Amino acid sequence: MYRSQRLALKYLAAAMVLFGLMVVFGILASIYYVHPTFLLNTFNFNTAKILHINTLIIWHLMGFFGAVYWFLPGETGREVEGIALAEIMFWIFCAAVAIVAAVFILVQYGASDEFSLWFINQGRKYVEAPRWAAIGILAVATVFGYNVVASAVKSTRRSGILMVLILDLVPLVVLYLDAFPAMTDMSKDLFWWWWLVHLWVEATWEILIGCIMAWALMELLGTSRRVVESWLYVEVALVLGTGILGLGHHYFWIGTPGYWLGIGGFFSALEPLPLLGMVIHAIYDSGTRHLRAGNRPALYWTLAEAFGNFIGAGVWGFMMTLPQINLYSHGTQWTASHGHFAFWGAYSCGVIAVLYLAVGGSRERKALDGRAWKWSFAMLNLGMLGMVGGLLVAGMDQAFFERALGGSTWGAFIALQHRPWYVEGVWTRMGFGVLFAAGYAMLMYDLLTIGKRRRGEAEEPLKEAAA
Amino acid sequence: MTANAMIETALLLGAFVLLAGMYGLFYTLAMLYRGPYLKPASLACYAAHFGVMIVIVSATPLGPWWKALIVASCLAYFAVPPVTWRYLVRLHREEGMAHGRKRVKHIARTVAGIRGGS
Repeated sequence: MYRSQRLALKYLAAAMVLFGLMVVFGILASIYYVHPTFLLNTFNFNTAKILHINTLIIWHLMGFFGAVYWFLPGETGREVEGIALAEIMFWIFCAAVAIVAAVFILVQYGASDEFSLWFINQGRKYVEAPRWAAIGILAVATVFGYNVVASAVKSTRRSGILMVLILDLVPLVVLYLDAFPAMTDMSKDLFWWWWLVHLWVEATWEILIGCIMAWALMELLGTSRRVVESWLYVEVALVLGTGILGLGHHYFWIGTPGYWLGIGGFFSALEPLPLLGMVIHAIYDSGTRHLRAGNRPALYWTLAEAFGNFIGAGVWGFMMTLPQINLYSHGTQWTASHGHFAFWGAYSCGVIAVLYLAVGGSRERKALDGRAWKWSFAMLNLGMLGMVGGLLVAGMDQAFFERALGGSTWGAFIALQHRPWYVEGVWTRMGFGVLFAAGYAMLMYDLLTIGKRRRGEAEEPLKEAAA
Repeated sequence: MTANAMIETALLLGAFVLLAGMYGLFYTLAMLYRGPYLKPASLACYAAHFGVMIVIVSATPLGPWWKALIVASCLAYFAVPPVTWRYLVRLHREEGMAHGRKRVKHIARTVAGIRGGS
């Protein structure tokens, strides 16, 4: 095994730990909705939410880094250039995350001054990490970029996937610079902040996961390089064509000119089209192989990614993306429902699929199977469906009652907290959140033991795949 | 837009994309497995999708440009599964012809490279 692949396993393990923390803080955050005085003045909702969202972003980022470090040596046919520096940056990354989490938990917030901005909280949603840590993340991302580019330059192999990845790394790093400005004009601040949040999530991350899944398909199903590369180019063109100006759907209500209503609505309406193409591709690839692959968990998580992306981002997104609906739905539990489902489908399932591939590779087992992964697969997906269903009902009631009928007043917000549909929605979310947490526990158990259990159990699918 | 119309329109828009997805799913399954009910199921899903489009155009308070966009999307959704299918089949066929036996060795080398160690 290459050093890079050992580093990949560390990144993937760290991602799984942060995934667990995200679940813990998510359940904690869901409790405040049913018991608003829970841990009042000790550990408030805003801190739990910050930790929930920031761990979400960091575990995915670590998962992506891990996936690239896993596949890169196979792609270039050599050890990753600058691997020693990458290993150092991994530990710096972990230490920074631990310190930031400790500060968020123990200090929580500070005065409205430069010290707080540098050492406690930058105060910008999703990128709350204090400025020193944000600089650290930038350094880690830059070293990661260097590893990829330098490895490609030193290698004799230059694949299309690698070129797409390199081109994607530029905006991935540059857009993160948007985490730093502290503008006093709210409209300008949000205008640039969305470049980071939207263009990371709906453009650069989409391409990054596209490259990762292309490698995953080659390893998992033996799909040829030419096929995955051709498809990757089409997907990149479609995703960027619709996703970049889809940014406009965040500009509806932040004080930007009215033409963004048309631009944002139009391009957002086109966004589900490439997602449907991805679903068809997933069915084609898995169907022509009759759902047979040595690494069954990875295959099923890959399929879950395609379907989850289409339903979470496509269906859930289209319900609320046109400005006429978005006027009432934005910032409600409805948005949270869409956000949960889209992130889960587009990214989380893909990272878990790569995890299973890496586990299979590291334990030198081409075939992985068993019962535990099926339980975790079912519990995690059912838990997610229940959570987003509960949030959707609560969010629609919020948009209907608090926004459309109540005119977004404080009184309407308070009255909403006693509406049966809303209350049942947030209770449902909490209940299914617990199921999701159980699925996470099962996933961890499976990842730690799969391939180490009795041999016959795991080898059966390989025989099927070979048949 | 009234509160009721907002919820109704949102649900219709969600159903519009969901039915397009189901049409794509059944279309692809029908092409793969040739089951007797798969093709009719895909057409039924598209018919329902088309019906939802008619309801959106005739009964929701969206403006004319947005309704035109929905109609255009409805036509695009009809084309996406067959066009994608043909593209995938052609891609795989060309790949098979170009490489023949070499393809198998190439994949084996790639996988070995990914798994490779020093």
